Amino acid sequence: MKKILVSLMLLFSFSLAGDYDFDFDKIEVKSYEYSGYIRSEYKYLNLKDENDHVTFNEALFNFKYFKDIYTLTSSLSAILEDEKLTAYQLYLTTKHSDNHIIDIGKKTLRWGKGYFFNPIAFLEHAKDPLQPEITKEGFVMANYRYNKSYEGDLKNMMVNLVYVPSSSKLNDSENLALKLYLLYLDTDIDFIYLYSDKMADKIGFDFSKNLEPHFEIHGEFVKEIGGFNSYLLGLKYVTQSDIIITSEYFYKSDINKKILINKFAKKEPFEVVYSTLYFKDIYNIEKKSHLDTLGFTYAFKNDITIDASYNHYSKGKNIDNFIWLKGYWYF
Amino acid sequence: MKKILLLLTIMSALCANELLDQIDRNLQPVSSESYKKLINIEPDGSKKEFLLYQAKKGKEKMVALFLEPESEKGRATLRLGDNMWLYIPNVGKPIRIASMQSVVGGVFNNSDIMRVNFGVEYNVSKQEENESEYTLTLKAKNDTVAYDKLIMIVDKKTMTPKKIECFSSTGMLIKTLFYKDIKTFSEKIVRPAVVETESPFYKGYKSVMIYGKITPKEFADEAFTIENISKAGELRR
Repeated sequence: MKKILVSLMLLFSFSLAGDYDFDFDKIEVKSYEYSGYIRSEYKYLNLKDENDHVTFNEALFNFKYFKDIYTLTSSLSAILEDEKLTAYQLYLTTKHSDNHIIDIGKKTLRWGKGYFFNPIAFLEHAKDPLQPEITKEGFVMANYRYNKSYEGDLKNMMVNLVYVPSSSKLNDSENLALKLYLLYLDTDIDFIYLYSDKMADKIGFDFSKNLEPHFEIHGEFVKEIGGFNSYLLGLKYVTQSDIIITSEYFYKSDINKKILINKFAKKEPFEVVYSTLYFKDIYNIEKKSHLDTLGFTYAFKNDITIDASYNHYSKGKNIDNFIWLKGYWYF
Repeated sequence: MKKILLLLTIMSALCANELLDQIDRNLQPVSSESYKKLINIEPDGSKKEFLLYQAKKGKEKMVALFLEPESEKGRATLRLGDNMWLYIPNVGKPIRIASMQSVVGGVFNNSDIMRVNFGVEYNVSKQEENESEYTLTLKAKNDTVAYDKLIMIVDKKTMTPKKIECFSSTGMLIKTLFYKDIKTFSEKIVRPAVVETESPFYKGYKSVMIYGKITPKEFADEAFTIENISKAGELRR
């Protein structure tokens, strides 16, 4: 009996030893990095007159190559339905020091603090509030950044200068933007000025701050010189029961657009780890219409993530509701 | 007499906090890089593993980068004092997060993974000892800290923790960390290589953190800024 017990204990300790081993091959530093995903979507549309369905399949491949002070970054997208291969990004970074960085090529900027909207994102394709996390195609640009850390109330400052030539198809105009970022009194602050040779210039301001560890507020404000203004106010609150509440109010004066979005996400509901149950309400204040989404995400251990949702329009012209199934395989 | 008592109390608090500083130094050098594996073990025995690279400078700067699994690859968290951001490659920009949120799922939260230093977040409010161990009661310096109170049992020989119980401000036990398997990482770094975690909120679940490599390394202050959170992997070079 003792022998069996000892054998079982040895077997148990060996199995633990295996788990607690560390594979040093996995931390070897290489001159390149790659990542990406295959994304597959199916939408079942419940239209007023009939039903329909839409599919979407995309492969995204990101690759980086490092050589001395240079880094080549690329992001290629292939969409099956469009039979189209697009370089979302392809640019060369030169890091002269920890303070001076230059990027030249096609690059996607991500400016602003909003989750669903970014009125301040002057040099980007507009976000889709239904899927704000989707990678977008960038523009050809030259981008210089000066980054400096400090001790005290001002912890970090960054000056960001961006030149986007007219050939980049952004409003068919030449653009020059200057952005000043400050981490001041534990608050992220950006000031932006955009010069355009064909459109009116724009000024912008954004901020983000944690009032408490579980409570963040953010905002963006944009003014076109002699034209429209637009702003966004938002918050993120994590409750004691781990429900993440994200709320944003977006306004744009020229088209009188007023939208309020509230999202409630419960991580690991019913003790199901790696899952999230969420409800999102997009309220168009002018039209008094809602788009409500009830969804569930789950991350499998084999690098597959799924997102299934039921979406209902309160005043849809042609559509009542749709079921949306999304699957990602990461590599 | 009152003055002497006050002086003695202050001196004892200073000694206890020095003890905590020593524990911090023994766990990780002031400026260093490390690789660690996280394993979430579910009640049915199934596991999910994460591989992390971490760079740390001083008492308030840290960045952590996920190297595995593929679904998390490139995710990075940056801590600069009380500020914490999460970078997700698809989102493409850092967003502010709370220390109690869990980036990986399971028992570990951001604060467990991104803790720079016990001494920065806690004061020693009580110290007891026997032949082989100290028992320190740590009280959070402010309400931005994830756990209000810690009870830390410290091994006198290695001056590293053996067990830490984490409590909320209402006195509720949130989780228990067990430090195991003393290992020599370099000449001056001898510490537990394994941290096991259990929580009454995740019955039957266990999370394990295994340190593979800890190396002293100097970094520029700019490495710990939101400009560089997406380039955390370059610090490995």
